Amino acid sequence: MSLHSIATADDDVSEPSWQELYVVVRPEEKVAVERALQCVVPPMYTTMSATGRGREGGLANAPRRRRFWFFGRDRAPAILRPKIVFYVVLPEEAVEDALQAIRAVLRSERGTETSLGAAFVLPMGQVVPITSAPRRRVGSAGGSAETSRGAA
Amino acid sequence: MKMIRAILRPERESMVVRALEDIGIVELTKFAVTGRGRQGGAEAGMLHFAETAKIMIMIVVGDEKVDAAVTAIAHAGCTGFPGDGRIFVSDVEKSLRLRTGESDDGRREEKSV
Repeated sequence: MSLHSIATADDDVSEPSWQELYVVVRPEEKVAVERALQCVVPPMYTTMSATGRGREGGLANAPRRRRFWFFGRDRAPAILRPKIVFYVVLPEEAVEDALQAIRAVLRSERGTETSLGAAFVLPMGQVVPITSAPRRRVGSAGGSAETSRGAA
Repeated sequence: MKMIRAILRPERESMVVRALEDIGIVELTKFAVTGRGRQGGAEAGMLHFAETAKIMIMIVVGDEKVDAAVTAIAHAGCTGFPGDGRIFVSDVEKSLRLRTGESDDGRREEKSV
């Protein structure tokens, strides 16, 4: 099955083989990650602004000289760095391709710099596209609600 | 491996982060969010706020640290008043460091990239 034929906005995607993918990256890598995701899956994702830190414990634990250069001697160092989180729901078989594409883009642009980010894969429950979900109509006579499956 | 998402009072954030550091968890991602719980927001005199500002902390930890992390968050984030927040724990199938391609179980994922 082709990746691009797996899901479109009109498909009923309530199959159990979908997974959640959280990708935490630097904000400046947003466009690169978007490009990587568009190569692999239908371009459906949500981005969220966040702050975060990894194993190194953030900039507060950077070497002293670098810290003073970055913040100035009199300022307390911030410990969290700005991040962008991509939240993607995609078919199980596309997860590996997405991760490899993202890593390839980041490595080509950033080499082996630290703080490139992390990715987490979670099992997905039910997925129901709102446009094609069973819809409860309001305002019917007598308050009876009619449920229909229709386009918005 | 589990993902812990904790919705907290913003003023409790630093205490929760410190409590997590104390048990050896320094990695985290933090979101500024708004939301409401069972009370449907907050009442202040005649005013009703449908949503209140919260902080969501997202961490991924090994199974052996989940209970300690949840306890640390719950203790540090608790004021005893409505609106303290909630902690959600989900399964994580895989966790990957983007720089090294290393999984959190120590396995290195090297495909042709």
